[in-house]
Amino acid sequence: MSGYELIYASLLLGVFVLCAGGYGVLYTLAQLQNAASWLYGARTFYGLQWLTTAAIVATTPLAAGWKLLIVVSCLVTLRVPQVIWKYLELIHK
Amino acid sequence: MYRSQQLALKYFIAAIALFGIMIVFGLLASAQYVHMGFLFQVLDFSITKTLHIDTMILWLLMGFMGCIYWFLPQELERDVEGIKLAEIMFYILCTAIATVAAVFIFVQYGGSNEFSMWFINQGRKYVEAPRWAAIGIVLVVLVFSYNIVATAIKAKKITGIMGVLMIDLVPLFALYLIAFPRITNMSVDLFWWWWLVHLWVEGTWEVLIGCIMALALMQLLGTARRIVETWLYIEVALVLGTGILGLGHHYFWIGTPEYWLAIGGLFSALEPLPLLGMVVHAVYDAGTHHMKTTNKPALYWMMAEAFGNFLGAGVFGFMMTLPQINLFSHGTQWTVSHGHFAFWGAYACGVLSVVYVALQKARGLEEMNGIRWKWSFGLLNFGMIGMVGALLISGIAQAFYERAIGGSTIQAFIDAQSNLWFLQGMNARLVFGVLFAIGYAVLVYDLLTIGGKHRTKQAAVLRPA
Repeated sequence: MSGYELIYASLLLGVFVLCAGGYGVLYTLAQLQNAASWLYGARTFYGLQWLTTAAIVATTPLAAGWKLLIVVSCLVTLRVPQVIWKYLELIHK
Repeated sequence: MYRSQQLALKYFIAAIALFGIMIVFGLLASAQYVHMGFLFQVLDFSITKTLHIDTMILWLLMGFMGCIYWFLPQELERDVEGIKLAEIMFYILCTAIATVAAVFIFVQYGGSNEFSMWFINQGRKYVEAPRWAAIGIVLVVLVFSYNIVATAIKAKKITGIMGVLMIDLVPLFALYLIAFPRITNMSVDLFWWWWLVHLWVEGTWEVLIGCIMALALMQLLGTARRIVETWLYIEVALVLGTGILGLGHHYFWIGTPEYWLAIGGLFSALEPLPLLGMVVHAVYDAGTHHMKTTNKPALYWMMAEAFGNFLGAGVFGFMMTLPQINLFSHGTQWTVSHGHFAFWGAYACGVLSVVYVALQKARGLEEMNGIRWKWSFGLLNFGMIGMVGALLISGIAQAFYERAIGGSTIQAFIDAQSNLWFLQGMNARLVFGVLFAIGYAVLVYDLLTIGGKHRTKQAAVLRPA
């Protein structure tokens, strides 16, 4: 891995998690306030996370196993805020 | 107020004082990066760095103990069993810390022999305290464990939180014993040493702060016990499920078998998931209560805990945890950046939140608010974000110039140390460190004075005519 590839790959990995965080926060706000605008924001972040995933898979020299892990993580992230939200509602009832 | 809670306040005072000492030595160490000869052969970098790191561990540990001594009598509805012993241990711990610090500052070095190991420095990073002090720490943790278990037995009450806390005491005590063996093979020594460093921090401490936050949430937002306990079980399962084998990311380059690359990378990559769950939960709790509470500083510090943990451990950790990246980033300022942010988010913010919870009750205040806590909150967090950003730039410069281009030779190390990106990062870190220190000063002033007017009014009302 060259120096530039190192910086590029690590920054993409950071953005990947940041997008997951943005998606989680905005999804929760959308549910709390029942507001479509937050939901659009959440979807945008999740979309950005997929774009980041695509960039990681297509353009970084990470090994195939790690790329697969990133793709699976991105898929799992979709359900994390939803499952947690449902569970939080359940235990608060 | 229970006697145990009075002891908790003493622990908080000691913790906040150590927090300040940590900042002073952090500033000295960062100044030594900028001016290489600063305090050379008077107070060397090796000593300022050791004191910075050790006081960081100790202030958090004392903060945790303060939190538990604060909440324990409330949880079990009786004062703590063996409180006299706990009070004695507090003074022994403070004396031991002061003595060790004095030896580090005034003696600094000793030969590589039995005497220096027992009385000057054990020579192992993070657990430098000489052996007599390490034995003292074991005794303090034993008494702390006795206080908790004996109180629960006497009260004939073991709640879900207490159950988790008591189970956590076993590794909290047992893992510290790894500070003692003398292993001459460096790989074997590091293998076990990481059990202490990583599993304390990403295992027992995570569980401990989970229990503390559960207790704080019940008091701060009136969240039902059933809810916090259920959530605590899930969080503990997720954090331990990913964190225990996440230990593998420390085993990449210390001479352990190659399979640790896969194990460490995989479980470290999963670690952000529970942190994302914590963020969702924090937003849910704050949102359902519309950020309304009688203790604003405590709530904001609690929120900062969830977000700081996610950013510091999750985002900054994930950037450098996969083995192909870590090959270049480990041991650079990049790691330091991640370490600062993760410790701040995961633990420091949580302890500060409980300090405000305790102060509200100790001072009999109906509401905790004001302007000063906002300044300290802003300056401390802004200072921290600035520091970790600056360290990240320096660390990336090191990974780029020293490792990726220079091939990790000694000359490449020296070249990277004089690289402009690296130097500017270190300069910026010092500037943001000063901002952080100002934030600390405001925090101390706020903690000393918050609710002062209310108390004066109360005293005037109570004063006989």
